[in-house]
This record gives sequence, C-alpha cells and structure tokens, in this order.
Amino acid sequence: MARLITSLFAASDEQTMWRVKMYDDSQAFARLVARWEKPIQRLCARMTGDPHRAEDLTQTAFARVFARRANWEPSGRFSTFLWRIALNLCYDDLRQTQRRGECSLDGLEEESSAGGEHFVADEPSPHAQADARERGELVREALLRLPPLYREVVVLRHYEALKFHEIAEVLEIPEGTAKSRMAEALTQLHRLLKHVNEEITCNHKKRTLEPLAL
Amino acid sequence: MQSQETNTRTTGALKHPDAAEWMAFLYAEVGPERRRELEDHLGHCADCSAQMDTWRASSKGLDEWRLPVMRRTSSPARLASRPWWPALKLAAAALVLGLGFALGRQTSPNAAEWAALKTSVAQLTGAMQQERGAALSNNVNIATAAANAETLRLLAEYSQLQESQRASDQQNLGVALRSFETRLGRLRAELETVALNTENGFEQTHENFSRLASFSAPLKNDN
Repeated sequence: MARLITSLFAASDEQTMWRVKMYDDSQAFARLVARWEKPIQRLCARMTGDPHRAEDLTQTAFARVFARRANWEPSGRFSTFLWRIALNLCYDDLRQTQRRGECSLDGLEEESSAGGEHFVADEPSPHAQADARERGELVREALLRLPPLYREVVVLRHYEALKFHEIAEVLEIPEGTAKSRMAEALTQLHRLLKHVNEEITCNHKKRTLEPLAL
Repeated sequence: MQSQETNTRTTGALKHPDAAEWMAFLYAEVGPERRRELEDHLGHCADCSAQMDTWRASSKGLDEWRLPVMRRTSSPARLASRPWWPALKLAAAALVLGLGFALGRQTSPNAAEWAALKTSVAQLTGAMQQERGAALSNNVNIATAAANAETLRLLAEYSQLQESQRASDQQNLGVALRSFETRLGRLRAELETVALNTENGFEQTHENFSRLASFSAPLKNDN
C-alpha cells in the first residue's frame, strides 16, 4: 500500500528526464540510472551473450543518454529513447566483434564454469545445477545464432516483457511485423535448439544430460 | 530461413488465424473473447495446435537461460561526466612515449657526446646573449642622440617662428597707430571747422537781432 502511494507521487521517467534535459540535474539522472540499469544490462547481456560486456555497454548507454539529453523529445517515452540507444550500442558491439573475427560464443565454457555462483537458482543439487547451466547455455547459444533482427524482438518481448506495440515503437516497425518476427524467431529457435541439443548430446554421450523439452 | 504465414489461412470451412495473432495469444495480448475463440480453434485444428506447441516449447526453452547477478555499472555522476577513456588513452600514450624517450636517452652509447653537445649549446647561447646585449645598448645610444638632435632642431624652428610672428605684430601695430593719428588729425580739423561755423552763426544771429532791434525803434516813435 505504501509502495503504491509512493509510486503515485513519484515523478515519471519523462518528468525526471525533463529535469535532466533542462537543468542537468545529476540527482534526477541518478534516479533514472537506478531505475533502468538492470533492464539495460539484461538487454545487452542477452543481445551480446556476454554479461561482462553488457556492464560496459550499459555504462556507455547511460553516458550517451546524458550526452544526448538535448535530443530527447518530451513527447516521446523515455524508455523508448533508452532502449533504442542501448540496442544501437549492442549492434555496434556485435559488428565490432564480427569484424575482429571473434565468435560471440567464445567463453562459453569459461563462463559456464566460472560464473556458477552468480546464477539465480533455488538451491538445487549440484548435479541439477550443472544440468540447468548446460541447458541455459544451449539456449544462449541458440539465441546467439539467431539473426539480431529476430533476437532483439525475442529479448524485448520474452525477457523484458514489452508489449508488441511498445516493441514496434522502439524498433520503428509496424506492430504486425514485430509479431511476425517473434513467430519466425520462435520457429527458428525450435530448430536451432534441436540442432544444438543434438550437437551437445553427440559431444557428451557419456553424460546423462536431460534434453530440453522440445 | 523458413518464413511464417502472415495472413489468415483458410482450410475448407476453417479459418486459421495468422502467426501474428498467435503471438499475441501466446503472450496474452488478446482480449478475453478472442482468447476463447482462439482456444476453441486450437481444440479443433491439428495444424494450428501443432504449430502452437512448437512455439510454446521454444518460448518455454527461453526461460532456461538465466543471467548471472550483475553488479552496478558505475556511479551516475561519473556517467554524467565527460567520457574519461579517450583522455586516459592519450595520457597512457604520452606516458609510454616519455618513458621510451627517457629510457632511450639513458641507455644511449653516446651519452658523453650528448653532454658535450649540451655544454657547447649552453656556451653558444651565452655568447649570443652577450652579443645581443651589446648590440642593444649601441642601438639605444644612437637612438637617444638622434632624438636629442631632432628636439634641438624643433626648438630652433619654434623660436624662429616666434620671432617672425613678433616682428609682424609690431609692424601691424605701427600701421594701426599711424592710421589712428591720421584719423585723429582729420577729426580735429573737422571740429575746428564746426567751431568756426558755429561762431560765424552766432555772429550772424547777433547781427540779425541788432538789426531787428533797430527796425522796431522807429515804430515806437510813430505811436
């Protein structure tokens, strides 16, 4: 109840951004960063497949928001402005990675072994944890093999729970196109997951990894 | 790449919703009435039901990828400040360059030659400074003498000018005095003329009065 009352009187993102734009209000900017840091980090991590790079990209995204505060139109939603900036940075990063010839799937093993303690889990057994991690890596790998055009829709709709009309606004495409891309993405993912699942099963025949329920 | 149908399909009497509508259904973005219709359709249409199972499985599979807990990236104040990494890069480059230069100088086999060269450069600089000092004082003396001569010349010109001005003033004054004296003499002569005329006039009047008196005496005698 108290939270509801607080949220009723709290300034909207647009009001806060207005203060940043007009008065260079650093406190207002700090509030925006606090509200949006996690979603932007998640977006960048899902788009690049690398949580560490996502932290850098998030930092750059907020620095860019501040640098471009004059370009922000109060008639538009702040979140749309922010998602666009972050997505553009992700695209730049993906292009650079491609140019350097790095495979975005590099570090898969390292991350799956080193980042174990950070995974959000309900304290299952170590074996179940290992299985969950491997299944997660399968999905990660499959998602990274999706063209970014489809991946961004999946990330925004499935992981960040934006409505299709909001995705359409961010990507500046018709709502029907956003939905069609989502359908195409899920279809391709089904095939990719099956493929990756088979690859992993061939490589680890001796392991009794529970396959994804496809 | 397999493309999805984006328009409503019709098989026999059954009208199939398009992929976009199924996405709205899958992510609960349709109204309750339409949802019931779509659920009914799935109950009757094996094709759509199979397709929907595929999409649901993919969607469920996506939940398997969980992200690690990520830390806060940076303080907002730092984010709001100017980007620091280009400056850092420049500073690092300058540092590396400076270190390399210093190291190169220290490890150079010609260190003694460097020292000799430095001494000769210092001597040359001292000599040049002395020479420059001497040349400078000479120039100052010449300039001072020229300035003095010019001042004297100007003073002489000024006094000459004053003299000639005074002579011409005296001349003018003499001419004016002479003209005044002439006019004064003329005025005096005119005044004398007037006085004479006036005297004559008085005499004439007196004579007239006398004559008038002589004329009036006989008339008194007649009465």
